[in-house]
Amino acid sequence: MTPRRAAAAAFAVAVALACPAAAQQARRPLSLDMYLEWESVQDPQLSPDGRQIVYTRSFVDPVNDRSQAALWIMNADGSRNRFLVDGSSPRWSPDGTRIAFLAPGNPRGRQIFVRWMDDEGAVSQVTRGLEAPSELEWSPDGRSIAFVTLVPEPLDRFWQLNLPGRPEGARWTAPPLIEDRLNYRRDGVGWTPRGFQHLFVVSADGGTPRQVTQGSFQPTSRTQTRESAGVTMARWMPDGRSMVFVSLLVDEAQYTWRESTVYSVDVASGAVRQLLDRRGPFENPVPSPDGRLIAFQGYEWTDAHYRENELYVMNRDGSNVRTIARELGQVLDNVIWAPDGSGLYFNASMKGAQNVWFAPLSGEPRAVTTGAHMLGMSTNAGILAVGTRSAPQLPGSIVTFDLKRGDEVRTLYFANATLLRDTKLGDVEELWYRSVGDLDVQGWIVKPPDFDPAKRYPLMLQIHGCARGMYNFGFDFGAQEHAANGYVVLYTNPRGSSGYGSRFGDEVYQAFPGKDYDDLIAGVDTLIGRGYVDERNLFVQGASGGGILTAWIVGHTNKFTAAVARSMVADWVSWVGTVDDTRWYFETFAKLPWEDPSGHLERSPLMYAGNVTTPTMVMTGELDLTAPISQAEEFYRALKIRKVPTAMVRLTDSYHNQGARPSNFMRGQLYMRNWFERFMVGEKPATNGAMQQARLEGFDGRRDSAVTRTLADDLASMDAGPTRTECVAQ
Amino acid sequence: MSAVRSIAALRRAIALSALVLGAAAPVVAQQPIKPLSLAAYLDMESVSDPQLSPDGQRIVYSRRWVDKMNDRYQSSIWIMNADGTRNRFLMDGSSPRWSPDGTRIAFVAAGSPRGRQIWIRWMDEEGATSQITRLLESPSSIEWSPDGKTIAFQAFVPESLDSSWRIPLPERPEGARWTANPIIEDRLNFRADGSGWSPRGHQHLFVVSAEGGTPRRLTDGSWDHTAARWMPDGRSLVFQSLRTPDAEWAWRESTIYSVDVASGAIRQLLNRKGPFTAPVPSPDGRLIAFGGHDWVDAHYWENEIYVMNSDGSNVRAIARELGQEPEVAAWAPDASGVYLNVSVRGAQNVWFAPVQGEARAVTTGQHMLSLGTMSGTTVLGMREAPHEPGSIVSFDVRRPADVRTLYASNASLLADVKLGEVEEFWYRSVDNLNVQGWIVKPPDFDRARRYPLMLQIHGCARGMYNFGFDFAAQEHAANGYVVVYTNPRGSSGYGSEFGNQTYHAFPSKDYDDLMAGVDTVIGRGYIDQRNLFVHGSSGGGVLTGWIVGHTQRFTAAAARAMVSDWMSWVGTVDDARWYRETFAKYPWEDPTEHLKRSPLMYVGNVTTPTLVLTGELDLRTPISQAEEFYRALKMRKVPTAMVRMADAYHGHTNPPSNFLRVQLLLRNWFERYAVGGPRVDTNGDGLAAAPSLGPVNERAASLDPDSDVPGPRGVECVVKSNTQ
Repeated sequence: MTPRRAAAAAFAVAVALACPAAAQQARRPLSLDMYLEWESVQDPQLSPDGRQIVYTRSFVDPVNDRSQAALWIMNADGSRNRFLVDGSSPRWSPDGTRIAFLAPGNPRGRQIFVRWMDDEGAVSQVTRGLEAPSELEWSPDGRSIAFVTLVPEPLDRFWQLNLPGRPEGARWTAPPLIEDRLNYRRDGVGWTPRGFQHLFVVSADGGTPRQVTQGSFQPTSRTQTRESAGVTMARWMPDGRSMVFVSLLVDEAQYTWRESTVYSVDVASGAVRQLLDRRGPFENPVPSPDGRLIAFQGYEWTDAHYRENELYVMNRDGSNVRTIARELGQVLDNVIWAPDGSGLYFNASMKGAQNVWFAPLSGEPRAVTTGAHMLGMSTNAGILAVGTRSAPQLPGSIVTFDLKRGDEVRTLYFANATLLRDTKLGDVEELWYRSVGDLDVQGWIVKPPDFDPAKRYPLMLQIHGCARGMYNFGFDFGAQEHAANGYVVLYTNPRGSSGYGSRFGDEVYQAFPGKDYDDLIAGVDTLIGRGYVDERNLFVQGASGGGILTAWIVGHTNKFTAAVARSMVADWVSWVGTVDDTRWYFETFAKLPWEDPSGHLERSPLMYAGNVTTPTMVMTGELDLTAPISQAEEFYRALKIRKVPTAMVRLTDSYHNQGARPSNFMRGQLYMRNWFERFMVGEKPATNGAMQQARLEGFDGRRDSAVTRTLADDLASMDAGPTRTECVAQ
Repeated sequence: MSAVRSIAALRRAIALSALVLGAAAPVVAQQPIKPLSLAAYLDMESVSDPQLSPDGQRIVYSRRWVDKMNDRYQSSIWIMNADGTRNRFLMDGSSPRWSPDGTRIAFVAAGSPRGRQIWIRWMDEEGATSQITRLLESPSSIEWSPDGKTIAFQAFVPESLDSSWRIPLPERPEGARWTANPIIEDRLNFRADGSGWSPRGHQHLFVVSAEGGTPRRLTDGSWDHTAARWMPDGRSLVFQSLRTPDAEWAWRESTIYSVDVASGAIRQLLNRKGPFTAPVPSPDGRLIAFGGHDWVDAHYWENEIYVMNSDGSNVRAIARELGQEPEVAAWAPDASGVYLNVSVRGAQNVWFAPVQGEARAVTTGQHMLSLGTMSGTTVLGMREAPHEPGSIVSFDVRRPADVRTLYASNASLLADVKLGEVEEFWYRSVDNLNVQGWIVKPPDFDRARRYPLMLQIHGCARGMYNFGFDFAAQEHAANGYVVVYTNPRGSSGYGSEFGNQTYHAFPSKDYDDLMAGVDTVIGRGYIDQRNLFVHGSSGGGVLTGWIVGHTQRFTAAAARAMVSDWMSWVGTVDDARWYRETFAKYPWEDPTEHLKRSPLMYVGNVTTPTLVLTGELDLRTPISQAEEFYRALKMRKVPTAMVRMADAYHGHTNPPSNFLRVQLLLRNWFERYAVGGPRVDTNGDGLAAAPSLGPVNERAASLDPDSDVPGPRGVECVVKSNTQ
């Protein structure tokens, strides 16, 4: 582990040097207001000729309190970096003459646009549907674009009431909302419209889209965007006659869990054929360049908490299914065939790092790139690949590399380089330690910028969301900003985390929370052993799964000085009926509460509220639909009944991801420290200058409890935020 | 087997009196008779709060009606002579109170700078009206001083959240539109059903000159002060509070204090632990009557009526076991005792409790009769009966059988309506308990036919169905249902022992009581046993959820405003004290009972199609409770739907259009599963132009803060609490 840490440190230095003349400037610590200027880059797309890169830049709109994105373009060597057009999801046409992308259009919502990439640069809106399209795919001949969109279905007409006596022009209260679906709302979206996602095809020259798939069905694939339900992940076969897609075309598909499979549809006739006849969460079909094979990933059905996807190939008719890679992280991202069809490239996330791998059709998979970073390829043109990279002190950049020689990574554009040039970030040290059951656990320590090992610092343990999350070598603004305020921040990947193999991840099978608690405490003890932590000032916070573990911790130890449980679940029994998607439940419990509540009680933080003495704040978004705010209320009320110091912070306009609104991200940072510093023993850490000048503001004792604003359109999530640790229902 | 007590004679008497009242609308008997229509709800009015002038000559009262355009209830103050003549509009406002000399009326109405304010109207020919307060927080509970110079009232005094919660948020750009600040909460109870988020602060007592001027605050501290009454010498007020540290955590504790108006000095008069409330000084100022009981860890305990000397000494009970909360309505002018409004066995009557001796009934009868104000021996009050929606009545306490109806609301509306017969019945349940209930029959009831049965279950284990008029039940009956409602164990009005049968046992044998009621009615032979339906709200929603988990006999069910999971309820109910009424321990101490009594835990047995219906703003049984039950049924593929009423708190039949919707939705659900025969006839109103359901996902919640007063029938219950 020591050599590894050294490598990481060396890399960090290299990155820091890449910001020119940084060492010579007067350096100040990271300040919270820098978040308002934060920028991130995503989804670079290389033109088919390998000469140009279109990518998405996201930045904070500090007036409207949201993140915004635009498409930029540059040459493949990084030169001529410039704005292209407002929009997202750019996709080059196969001949490289056009780009299709999504942007707001007529009559409402997002629409598909096509921009000619010539000097004229004409932009045409090619769809005008009422429901927003997504998942654009150019046909191989460049004449059509496939996409999926919602086909609404009305509520049964028998629900219409013959309400008497309503005068003309009366202003009566709205009709009730009537629901008869199993899952009817979704975090980040709100109430889900009735209907299903179907596959459509539209001419790239515009015209009427044609619906290709029909019916009422709902897939349960695990990496599909949670906004879609129905047909997803459609890809053209190279002959352009059919597409392969993921769904689960069975009755009552919404009751299934971890089941989806691969189908093909004849685009002309709409005839659908099931290619893969296996039970499990199979998804992401990718046809080979010659159309003879289809790669996909997934695993045979299991009730495990965590199982890493395998990469399979099958013949185009679904025969001869075989595995070509396994145990390379939870999900293989951006699977791309080698141009000669000899195997597949993909991004694999393991042990806190992401790199590009190659799995040949026969033989062992091998790493193409290595390094303690988050490197992700998004597209390639021949052996030239483009992607993004983030590292502990490098917020995100666009890079290119050669798929044959992965060690030569060229950085084309550093996001936030100017902003960070005068900033002294905290050192990030990777850490491995041993926990109960002789398990090796990986973690990271973020130190205050002027760290002095002879001093003693307050410790802030932060815990990732979702038992399956994975802290990583990516840049973490949240942790850096806490460190800039004098905290040593620790985050680790306890058992159950992704990227350490199926067995490690499944250690929390029907046991979350459980020994993951021991892993976290062992991490704290390891750090205390370093001698620079003030043991009187140990703090803990986490969101989502990390909120559950925070509450679990205060119910199981009194060693922490104060705690903040964010977006938590306190009571598994009440969660089953209130969580947005029932499938979440099956990941955690074998039985439903009315079958046997003992496991739910045993693992609910609420049941340990009687032991809590640690001052504990609960913080949840008022719109949270994954860990609804009733969960926070249950824990808060229990602490309050017991007269344990507590407060409940209800973030406005916030779903489960509390940082989606930039101002809420900043409030979260400040409220956590506000709470910790109430109970901090001895001298409080100095806050940096910019903060002290800021106007004090920030709370409402009362507001109308009816929250009406909807967020669906302006919550593009910021990659620049704290390390992404969200997870999706399988 | 069922000990049915016929009330035919009384019903005839009531019918007769209805006809007499109907005299205002002539030749009633000759009119075509039609069943009650749902649309009639929009034309129903109600009367309340009658106040007799000190000279006994005039009566002011409140009338409430439905504003059909704006979907809310509106009320105003009317006046009439004491004999019921010259009945006319007086002014907009509420809570009219005569000054002691009868020259003025103080009342509450909208005023500047906002909200409600106190107004005074001179009751002479000029009728000058003056606004005498201009407060930011609306005053309530106005009380004239004995000399008529001052008015005492109660108003909210805001407190702010501790400034340590301010955070150094980076400077926002000019014109920035950032998301609103979070709500930060550090109180035990922070919201209240019917009003939403509770402002920080407390209720305090004030006095203001009846000629206007600056109000003066009398009380201090972080406690609520309520139910203030003047002592006859005009020097002090008595009131109810709990001025102790951590009062927020106390359960069933409040006591009686006095405050010296000149100095503001506060003295605790009563030094007992328990919920002691509503002090009423005697006319000579020597005694104070109040209600309550010594602290007890019971589910249900009937208040006693006490008197004590004005210094708090010599406390003695003068009445007990007269229903849950007998109300001290008035002292006898000679201070020999107090008149009480007593609700027992489904009826309300006026009782007299002498300072010495046994309490006795003044009025009798199967109705809801209450004393509002007295002048000499004349009582002004209200009466409601199975076919009488609400009347203003008067009688002389010396001749209580001679009750005169001064104004019968809705008389012309009901003149050509044929209501369903309402039959009282008593039956025996498990443990040989006698239970009272009522059967509402379709208007053209034919005992040779067989009707669908609709069991409706009252809210709050401590509710009490009664002899009052029930529009909702009548309207279901008009659509062909036999409606049954009963008061199972735990209900009010049958003594502490009966009420306390559900002590740490709700739901339990109350289920048996309900089933025995259904069996009794089935035994009458006119029920179609294929079509048994059940619904209930609040506590009745809990029992409905419980019933479908314990029997499959019902054809369909609708659980409204239910609790399905007691564990999650403790943290989400508006007032933490509710919890203590139901459970001895908290879930984290021992969850056994919570699980055992949660309908959710029996969902594995449910096969009955069950609708869940809750107001989206409900803070008493938050909609997450409905979601838990709905999702569980859905996972088991039991037929179900969730109806989320817009703009509705726990009383989800408000605003008025929601009342209409609930009536229709219940039958909509039941009739999906009704067996045999044509669908029961639905009235025919509004068959044309069915309004659409509206956009499901884009509804702006427009909450009208002025809409007051719940729907038709009062079976709600209150937490026995520190203050209000």
